[in-house]
Amino acid sequence: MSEPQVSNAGARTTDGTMRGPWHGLRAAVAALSSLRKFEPPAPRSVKGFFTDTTLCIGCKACEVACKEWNQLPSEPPRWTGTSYDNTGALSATTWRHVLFVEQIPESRQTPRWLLMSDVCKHCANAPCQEVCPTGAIIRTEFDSVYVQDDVCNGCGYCVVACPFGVIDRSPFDGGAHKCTLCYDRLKVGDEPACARVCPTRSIQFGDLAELRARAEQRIAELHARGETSAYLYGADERVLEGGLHAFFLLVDRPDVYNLPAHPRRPVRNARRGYLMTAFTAAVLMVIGMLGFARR
Amino acid sequence: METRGSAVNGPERGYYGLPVLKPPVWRWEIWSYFFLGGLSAGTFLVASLARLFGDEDDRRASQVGYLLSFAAILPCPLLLIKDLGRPSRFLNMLRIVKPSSPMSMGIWGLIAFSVCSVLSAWRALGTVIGHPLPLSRALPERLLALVGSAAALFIGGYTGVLLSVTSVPLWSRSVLLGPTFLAAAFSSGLAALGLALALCRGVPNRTLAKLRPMEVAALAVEGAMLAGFARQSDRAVRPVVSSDEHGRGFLLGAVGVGIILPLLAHLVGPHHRRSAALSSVCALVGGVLLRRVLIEGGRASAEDPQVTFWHTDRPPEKSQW
Repeated sequence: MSEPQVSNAGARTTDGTMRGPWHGLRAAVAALSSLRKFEPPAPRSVKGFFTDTTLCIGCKACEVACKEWNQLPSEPPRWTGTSYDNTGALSATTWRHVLFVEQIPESRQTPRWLLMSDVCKHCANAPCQEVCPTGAIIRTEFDSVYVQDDVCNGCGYCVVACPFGVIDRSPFDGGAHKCTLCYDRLKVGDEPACARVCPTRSIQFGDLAELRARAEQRIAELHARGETSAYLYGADERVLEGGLHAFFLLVDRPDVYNLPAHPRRPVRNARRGYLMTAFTAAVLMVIGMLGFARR
Repeated sequence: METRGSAVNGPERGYYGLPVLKPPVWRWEIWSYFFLGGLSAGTFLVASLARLFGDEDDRRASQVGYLLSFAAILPCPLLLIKDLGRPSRFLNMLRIVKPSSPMSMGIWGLIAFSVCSVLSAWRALGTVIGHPLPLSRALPERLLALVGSAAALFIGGYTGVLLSVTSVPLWSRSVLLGPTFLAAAFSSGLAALGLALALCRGVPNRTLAKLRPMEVAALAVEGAMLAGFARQSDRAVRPVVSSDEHGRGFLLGAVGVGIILPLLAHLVGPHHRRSAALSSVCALVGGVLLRRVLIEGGRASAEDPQVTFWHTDRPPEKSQW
């Protein structure tokens, strides 16, 4: 982010202690000026991902490119014992995850592999952003959902708010982390590392409206070729009341890809919860008033 | 849509049984805070009701209530800070006021309530030790009781709303956790004050006798809300009802010890101080277990993909007001 850095050089001696009341005052002004509100960058076109799972070959280049560009720690190799998926799930240090769905019938005839590169959905109404109490999670000028690492205090609310199990608190630094849609690359006009490296264009990056049009075209093409089970997950604006900015083309039920069919927007429970609580409060206060007013 | 059998996946839905959701990172700090914050709010409410609507004896009891409320709120900020992944940044909670986040509203509510609790306790301390402390006479007692009670009602219930505003099926299927936690806060406030009065020999029995029917009514409301929560949650409540790990804590602990035992003690038990003290202890232990089981059960709920798929099978109903 291009916020000017407040210099407090001179306010501290070499051993880190404050020098005199004048320097203390300067340090206080520096601390307070960090609260100043900056004008956010002007909105740009809405960007997103279209992940076409029918094109994914499970090479995991996206996982590797993401880790490299974002300098995320690798995890020691481990085998799940169920498939070639040795990543398991998205986490605070894994922002792309390739699923290996191996559908092998009892007869061993016509086996099918479904591969999907999973990622943060950058929801139009992002539950993680809606509940974040520090304002660390924001929407960028590309309408992506971004965690400001210097603001997040690791309260963990976003972890339970996300209906897709994407964002998590890191055991390394205590902060919440997830895909940034490569905000730093977007800032200079580049595309996210995973989309750049994908060899089959299973991961496509671009303007959301254009991606949706392209996806509809691809669905029509697949249907015409006989793959009638192909459909889009998350392109529909009804999903979480606004759609997902990272959506997918799937050929089986959402749960096969560990996705909820109809994710719910948690803040929808707030008003009813508060109203029911207020009603209970009234009942309890009447109980208390009658109880003490009794002679 | 076509469905194919899978030898590896088995008949269950999902991806090799891996969870859809991330398990909550909240642990003992949070359920301890939920209990202590509720206890503090509850005792403040009971003390204020006694102050505003009671007679001379009740007012003397209300001083004890304010002191208890202060004692219970003291560890709360420390627990909340310790729970953070980055405790040194706890002040970042105060950057913004965000109505869509129950946690943000909760922090501001907690600050408002703490101020009222501290000032009320300061005034009560002056009365209890016999000579007024600096400024304690100048504090507007009735105004503090009114404003503090509004804040206390919020603190008692918002913790349940906070859990409802998540994607964890156990917490979010029903919206009755807020009412359940508020009723539990009020009943533990009554129990704590009852216990203190039963142990103080100098206090007359009359206030204690007034607390009894209130405790019965509060426990009945708590039980009804908890039953409504379990009914609405349907399949999502299973991890706390039927699992070996949490089932005992919920049914025997939160319901049996926390609600049914004190109710029985008040309704059919002998009316003397020892019985009142014992049932108060039961209600308090039940209050701890209720918060603990629901927080720990949230982890089991989030880690069960079958319940998550069931919870998200249909689009949420249109009539959401």
